[in-house]
Amino acid sequence: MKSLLKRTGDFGITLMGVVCLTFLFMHWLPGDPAELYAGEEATVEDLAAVRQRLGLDRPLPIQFVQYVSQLVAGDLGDSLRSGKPVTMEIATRFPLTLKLAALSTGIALVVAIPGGLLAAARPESRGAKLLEWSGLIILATPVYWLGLLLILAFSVSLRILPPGGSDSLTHLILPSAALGAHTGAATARMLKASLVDVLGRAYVTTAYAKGAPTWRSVVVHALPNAAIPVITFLGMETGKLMGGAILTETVFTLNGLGRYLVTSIAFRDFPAVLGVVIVMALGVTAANLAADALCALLDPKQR
Amino acid sequence: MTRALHRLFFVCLRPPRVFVGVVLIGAALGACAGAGWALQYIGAPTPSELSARHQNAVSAQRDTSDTHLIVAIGAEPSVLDPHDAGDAPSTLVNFHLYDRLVELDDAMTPRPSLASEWDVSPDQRVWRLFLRKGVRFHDGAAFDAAAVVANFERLMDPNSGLARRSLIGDYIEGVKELSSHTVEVRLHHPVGGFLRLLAHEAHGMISPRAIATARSHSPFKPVGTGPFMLDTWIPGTRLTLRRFDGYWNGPPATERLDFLTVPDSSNRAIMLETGTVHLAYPLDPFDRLRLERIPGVVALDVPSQRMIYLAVNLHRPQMKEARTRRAISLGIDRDAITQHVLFGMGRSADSPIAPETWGHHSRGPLPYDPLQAESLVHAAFGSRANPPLQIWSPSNRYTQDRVVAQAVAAYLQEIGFSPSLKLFEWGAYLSELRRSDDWDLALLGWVPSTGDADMALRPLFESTARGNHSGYSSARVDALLTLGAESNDSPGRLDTYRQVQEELLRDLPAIWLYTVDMMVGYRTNVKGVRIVSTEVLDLRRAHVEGAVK
Repeated sequence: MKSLLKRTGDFGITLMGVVCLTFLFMHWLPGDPAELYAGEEATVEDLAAVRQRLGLDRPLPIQFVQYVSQLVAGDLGDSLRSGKPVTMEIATRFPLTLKLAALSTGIALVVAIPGGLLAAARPESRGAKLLEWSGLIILATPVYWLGLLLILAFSVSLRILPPGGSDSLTHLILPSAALGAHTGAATARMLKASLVDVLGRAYVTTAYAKGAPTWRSVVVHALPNAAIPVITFLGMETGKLMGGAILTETVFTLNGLGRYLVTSIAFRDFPAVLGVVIVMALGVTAANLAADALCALLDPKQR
Repeated sequence: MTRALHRLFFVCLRPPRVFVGVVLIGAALGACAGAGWALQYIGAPTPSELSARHQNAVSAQRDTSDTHLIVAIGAEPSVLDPHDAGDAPSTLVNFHLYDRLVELDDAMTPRPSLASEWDVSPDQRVWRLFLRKGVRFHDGAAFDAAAVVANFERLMDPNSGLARRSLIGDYIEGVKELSSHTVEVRLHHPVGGFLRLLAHEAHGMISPRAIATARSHSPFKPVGTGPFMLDTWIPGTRLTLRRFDGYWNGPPATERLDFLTVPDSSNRAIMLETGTVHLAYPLDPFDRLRLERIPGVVALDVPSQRMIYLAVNLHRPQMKEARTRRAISLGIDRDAITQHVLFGMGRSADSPIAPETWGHHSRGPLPYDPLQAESLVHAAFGSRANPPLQIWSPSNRYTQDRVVAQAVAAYLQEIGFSPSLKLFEWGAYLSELRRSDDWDLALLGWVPSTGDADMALRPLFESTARGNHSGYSSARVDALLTLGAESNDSPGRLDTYRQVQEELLRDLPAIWLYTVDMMVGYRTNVKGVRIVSTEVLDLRRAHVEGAVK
């Protein structure tokens, strides 16, 4: 519990670091939001007017202090591109990214748990070999390419799923499959390795010696201990899911945080980029805290 | 007994620990994802069920969408205020929300729109605009002289902070309401392409009420007199326009116009191919060629006025040398680039401006002569072998830009330079061009949105212009550009621009390469799409054939 509290405290410091670095990097990056807003036809005077309106004519330290004081008050500022509050822009997009992350983690677990168990319990079986190879192939495939292949197969050839859009939940099946396949393959390998290690321990041998059937020895005796590193790994994987969402959301035209981040960076929409980065940092930390809490529940030594 | 209890504990409590983990994750997922649909999809429909479901969904969508026109565009509009919008997606949407006083036909000739007639004083400084009667804004307000005055006053206000203010605002000395439907616009000096300027998409007429609301710093409400009005806008997903039944020129043929933001160009093409959208713009050349062979889809490339050119950095000593510039112009095979890099979706330049632009003048194709180019390089650099040449290009801004830059580098290597190529993301490109002097040639594109030679040349080659990346300064060209800007459309004005173009071709502050086509694809049952060479997609008459109106 104490460590959880300490971690929450650490998170505050990390978040401040994230804000400072993102702010500096975004301003250090070549490119002028006023210029991108006003377009190429705008004259020097137009540009100056836009720059003034967007508050970009003030010195950088003042902009920074202003931003941080806003942030402390819980205000993420207004988007330079749309003029709307960043909080609102994020609120309209976050649910979709959350759904995508949840659904792809779900798919990953459904694939990874039986796959990992089979691979560990019967490492020489054909099924296990097949799983291992297909896992390797999926891991070696970039997410966006897998996404394009899925679109080709299910949207263009079979025509059973839409190629893109954010309107309904059918739109989420292909992207979460693309994203989940990766996490699933990685988790299955992780689980297998962890299980193989635990299965070699004395208490599992004892269980076998007492005549427990294989499934019992694996599922009841070995899995809880083997699950601990896997859960920690899944917590860390959330960060990767967010990163993967950036590509997946672009390929599948999903209106989530990842795509918003890409468009905002291209447009040098500083407040929007900072807002998304903060929300993503919060998401990753929350997932890691949840994973730690879960591990503590499974492992008495960690309590 | 103890053993039995222990066993009970073992079976019931030990396993739950594992499952607590799984169940907790599952519960969290379920809660996040919304239990209802999760169950629905975990209920594992067979592929045929899924297929049937999708077919139903598609046909259900079709039933309603026949009166809709769904358009996939590449980027999200940023602002629906025409006086402030500097990006292409916003301009496309605004074109359908607002009318302008004057319109351009395909030959870039001004035609009446909200102004049904006009006249001009002999000194070309005072324009009288006679407004169409019986026109209403979407909010019910009458379109009259007061509304036009309110719009011009907004554009004249130097403190408005609007991105497109100076496009016309700087020319206007005053606006006066002569009668309920007559407006007098007094200019500081004669403006040659004034009517074409009025037809610019940035000069859409906004309802005076919306202007007043915007002035009070409330969110801008897009209210025009156009054939469509704003229905819903889900940022990042879809922007829907609804037919304005009170439109003065007869209501549009389609009930709704849906703009879907689809950033990935291959996904736009796939959505068109699978019938998810009716129209996709822009396409890339590969998709355009692929879609050509797909039944049910029309894929077009239409010449546009966008000129792609290499700005020459005249601050660099080697580029100041006229022979270097001439060698570069002679050393690039424009026809090969348009044929093999653009797959025929472009036309080699024969002048600094496109043939569709008003005022275009040409003495024939720009020559390709590698032998002469090579000897010019030798003459300019003497024994110094392979002078280095820095070429900059944006990546994914213009059709095939990167590959064109590579081709240019290869041609310049052939004639004796040793070129190196640097690619940029668009957001960084222009500011880096301005900031740094480390480049010799920079790939750029320009489309004159008024279709007039003034807009095609002055923003790029007048010595003080913001778009003059070359640092070109010629007193004669400046004087001619001012003369052209301030004289009315006449043979004399045409001659002024003929001289400017010849002057530029002699000085070569830029190497003009080609004009690039607009690539648009739509379903065969979509009719009435008009594609204008100023990169405007006019969907005011577009509809799905057979749709119930």
